[in-house]
Amino acid sequence: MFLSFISRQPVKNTTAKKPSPGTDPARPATAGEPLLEKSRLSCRHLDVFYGAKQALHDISIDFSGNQVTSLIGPSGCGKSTFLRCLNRMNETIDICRVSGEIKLDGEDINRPEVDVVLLRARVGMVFQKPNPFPKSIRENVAYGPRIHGLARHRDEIDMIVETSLTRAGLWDEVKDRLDEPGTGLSGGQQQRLCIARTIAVSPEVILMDEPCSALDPIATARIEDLIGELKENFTIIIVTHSMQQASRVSQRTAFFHLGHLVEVGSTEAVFTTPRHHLTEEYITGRFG
Amino acid sequence: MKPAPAAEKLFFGAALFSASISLFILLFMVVLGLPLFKDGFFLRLFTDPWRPDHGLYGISAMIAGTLGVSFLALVLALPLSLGCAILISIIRPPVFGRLLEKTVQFMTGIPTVVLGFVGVFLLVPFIREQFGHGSGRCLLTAALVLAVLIAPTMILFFCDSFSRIPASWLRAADALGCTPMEKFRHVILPNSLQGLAGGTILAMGRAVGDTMIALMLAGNAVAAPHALLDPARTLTAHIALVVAADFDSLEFKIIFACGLLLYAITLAMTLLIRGLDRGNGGRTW
Repeated sequence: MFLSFISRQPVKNTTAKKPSPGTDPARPATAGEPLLEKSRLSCRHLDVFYGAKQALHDISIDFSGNQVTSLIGPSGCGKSTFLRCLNRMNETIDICRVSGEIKLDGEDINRPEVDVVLLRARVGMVFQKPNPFPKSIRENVAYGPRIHGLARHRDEIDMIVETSLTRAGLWDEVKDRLDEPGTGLSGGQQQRLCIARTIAVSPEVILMDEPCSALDPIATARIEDLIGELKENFTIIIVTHSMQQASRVSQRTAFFHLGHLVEVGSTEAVFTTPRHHLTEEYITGRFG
Repeated sequence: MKPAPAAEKLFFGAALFSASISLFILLFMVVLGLPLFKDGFFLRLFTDPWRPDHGLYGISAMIAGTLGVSFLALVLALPLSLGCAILISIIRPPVFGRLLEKTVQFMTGIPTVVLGFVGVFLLVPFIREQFGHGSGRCLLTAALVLAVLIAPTMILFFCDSFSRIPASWLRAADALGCTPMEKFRHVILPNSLQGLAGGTILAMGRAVGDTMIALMLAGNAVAAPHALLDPARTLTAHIALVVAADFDSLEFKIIFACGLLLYAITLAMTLLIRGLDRGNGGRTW
């Protein structure tokens, strides 16, 4: 039964190596094209455990720069856990243990000598619920650059604040009230403020964990447009529950199921010609 | 779900009863202390020295003693408690942190007389030998032990206010790449100042109200202390000493003034905490 997990169609992936099936033959290899020739961020044989429970099994996947990859799958499939590995946020959970290799621009981020503070400046994160600091709009955006020493003088900070808010599509709405508390904005505006706060430290990768799930459809549409614009400058990885959203915003899609990475491919391919039966069942709404 | 009428009445009665006790105590002290308010005698309490044999019943030395001992205890306990609370609820070393937290919780239950007892046998001789001056029963000794008494209250209160910082703010700080110190200084501390102030005031109230430790360790001399090694008598110790020695004299009546004063101080602190609670709305950095 388990062996049928292995893709029904031959893997067309021509790049160097196919994902290794690992030591456990029961583990399914990933269908589609998880690995890329040129990548910004790459994971190999990633296992994650919460205590004795294994949350992710042998995940190998590459992410290329300047495109949006969406991670989809039913609740509890490990997609958020995977996302949190990429900026080592899982470290804040005591019982969480991560093994395997994650390379950002060729450098393994899990090595003990890697400074997690610098890593998180390079890999930013936007959360499910907008979480601005209880500070002014200006201070929310200025805080990151300040602690990372990206700007010293007031005019440099002001410049970063303006560009970040502009790129987050929020500048016109807040430019006259930068000193008002960020928590006073609407939900959608707060989320764009959080995006501005994230891009203010000029990360290379932006992780988004269901960034629209707490927002109304109009605010969601604005964020989705914004994601499309941001991909010109950033590598974006977004966890989403909405398959419509995945197909709207992303160029590549990865489908997770029960801690396994089932299929990765171009968004179009995954949604129109899924190679794995689980993917097909999920996107046609038979479970999830 | 609405409680049954009988239960509602019972609970209302209990609440009314316990609330009125506090008021009745105030009334009791005012009525019995009433003679003191005649002929400007009350004001002389603050200016006269304490010389019952000369008809002088000033309690200013005791007020100075109370304020001196409790402020000093607060100054000693505040940094200690802050450090402990940071260790327990922010740094959180897995085993030691839990152990420390349990110990602190346990410490809140130690009777003050036990602390006083330990102070008499360990700290008093130590202070006497270290400084080679006086009996060892002094402001410093009492304040040190009082600091041990109030520290657990402060630590638990501080831990509580740290843990009330929304996890989403902490996650945001982590994701931005804050060091633990930056997270503490910029996110946790500015947003828990109110709780810190509340805990400090509560501890101050406990220090002002405590009797046994001051009575056993401060020396009880009727003179305003001017140095750390000077003996002092607090209002609470004064009440205890007078009650133990006397009954139905003017001297005895004076303790109602002391009681009223303590009542007023505690009330002021409670109102201050209430005021802080109300100022909760505008949470800003």
